[in-house]
Amino acid sequence: MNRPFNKFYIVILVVLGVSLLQFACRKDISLLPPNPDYVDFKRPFGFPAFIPPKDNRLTEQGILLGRMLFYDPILSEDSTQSCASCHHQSAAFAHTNTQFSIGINGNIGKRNSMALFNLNWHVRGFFWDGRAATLHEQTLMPIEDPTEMASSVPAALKRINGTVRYKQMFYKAFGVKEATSVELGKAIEQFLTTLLSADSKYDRSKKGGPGLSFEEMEGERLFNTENRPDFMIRGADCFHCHGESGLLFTNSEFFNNGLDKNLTDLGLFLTTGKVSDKGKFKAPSLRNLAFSSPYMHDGRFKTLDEVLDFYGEHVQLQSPNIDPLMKHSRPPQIELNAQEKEYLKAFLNTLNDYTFISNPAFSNPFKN
Amino acid sequence: MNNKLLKTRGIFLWICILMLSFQGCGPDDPPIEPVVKADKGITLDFTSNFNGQLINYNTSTFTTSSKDTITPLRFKMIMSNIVLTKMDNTVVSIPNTFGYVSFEENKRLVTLPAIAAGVYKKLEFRLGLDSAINHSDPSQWGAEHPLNTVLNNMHWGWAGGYIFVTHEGNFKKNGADDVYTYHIATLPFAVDISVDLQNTLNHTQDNVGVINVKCDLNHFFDGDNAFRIQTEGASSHSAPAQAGLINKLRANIKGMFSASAN
Repeated sequence: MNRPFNKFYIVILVVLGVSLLQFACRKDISLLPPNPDYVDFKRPFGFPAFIPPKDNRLTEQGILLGRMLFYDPILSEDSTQSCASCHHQSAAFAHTNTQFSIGINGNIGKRNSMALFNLNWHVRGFFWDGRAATLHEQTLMPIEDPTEMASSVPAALKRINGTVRYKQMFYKAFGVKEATSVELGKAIEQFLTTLLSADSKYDRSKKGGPGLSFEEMEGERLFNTENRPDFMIRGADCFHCHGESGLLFTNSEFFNNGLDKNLTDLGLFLTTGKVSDKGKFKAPSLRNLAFSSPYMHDGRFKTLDEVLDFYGEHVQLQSPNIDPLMKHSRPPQIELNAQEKEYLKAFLNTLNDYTFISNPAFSNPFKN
Repeated sequence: MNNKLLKTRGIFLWICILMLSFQGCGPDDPPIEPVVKADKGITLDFTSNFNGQLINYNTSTFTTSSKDTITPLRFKMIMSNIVLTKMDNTVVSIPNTFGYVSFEENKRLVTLPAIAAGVYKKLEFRLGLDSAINHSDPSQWGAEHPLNTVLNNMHWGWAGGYIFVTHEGNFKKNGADDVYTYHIATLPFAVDISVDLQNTLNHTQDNVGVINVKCDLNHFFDGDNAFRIQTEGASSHSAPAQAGLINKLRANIKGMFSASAN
């Protein structure tokens, strides 16, 4: 009576065992992150829709991992320099008071570190010369740049995968036992994606908060007005390249704004190889200017006054490939008087986002 | 073995069979191909030329009939109010459909939704937007919508709305390099285009129809009005005071287009 009963349960156990083995051998299931906490991206008021990366959905684990990697010097060859070494939160993730950042080997970069915020809307490329087509592509380039971290992605991955902490974090974020360049880029991309600057005085006024002052509104009017003295219209004509449309204050396109008659840095040409792109650089956002000096791709201007003086009096109209938008005002130079410059600066200062530069979610996690 | 035991064994066996069956439906299986609904719309495919010659934006140089030597850098358009007319003169309006074309960026396709089958002979559209759309919240548009401001960079701001037509370039002024920038905007300066198809479009519900729309930039300067940049003015921002210059260009723009069906 007992023997057939035992045989039956042996058969049952074998079947159950085989079933469990089949589950365990399925790679995609065994590697699934244990508990990915998905994060919904909230588009700020007034910002345009954008296409999020289809293969990199935000998770709490991924964002935290990217934030740690951003602040960890482990990415650099000698583990002395992190992304944050040249992108300070207090400077809207630019490198303030420094014209050119210095890499680990003492090599001096040739361009000013760009501020990092609202990167999801940069649909025409990253860096001053557009050499990265996507944010994901951009994330790994500083690791290999000899004037920055001077390492290689495989070497950085070796250092990362050699730590228990990062191995665990990559597993939790992406379900991988060893990080590859794909997950490394995705993690940093996730953190950079969260860097939203949308809480300036200007933003609050658009949302129905306290309005701008008379001086600030006059500055806004100048900002959005083309200079046409032939029609008795005075304007600063900033909006063609840095329009307030979409609240981004850049159209993310590449222009030669007439800094030099003789080009020393060929800019976008170095990416595209097109002669007509010589001297063109990305138009940066005009948000957070109070925190992110110096200005221009080579950080040649330390103050906003210097910038306004340049656009008013020193545009090199014979610069190769100078954009028509720099020359079309009549007369070509924009001659704002002292009062108008003060108005314009007052408006630009409404674009400073103090919440952004003090947001603890973006701060150095190793100091908490 | 009694009946109760046999019954218990039977239940266990069914559970085992069910477990194995469910595993067969796991995520390793190839995904079921979604049923693709055929798009029965029409695509407008815009290309530009200068009097029949290919334009390489930023590098090609042409001479207008008014003897201006020009190098086009940008030509962009926002369009709406698209209408097709059948051979039997039935008018088919396509509301809430917009287009953005940028030749130097090779953004040239305007996709229209499904419309009635038939033989079509005429295409009409407006370069510009009605006031309600033009001054509505631009953040409402989806990421790939033609009116998304990041996509088209044609939005001046809430007050100004969209630029309807942008044409910018270089020209020689008394032998020296200079620039022209024509920005046509605001409802009074919208341009309504009407083009007879050179060969009719036989649109069925089974195929995506394509209408090739050619845009001759020579007509921008040499249409109803011979337009000399040096004398007429090299810049417009659609201020009311510039109505004379803008209206000359609008008249010329009306003659820029020709179209034929595939």
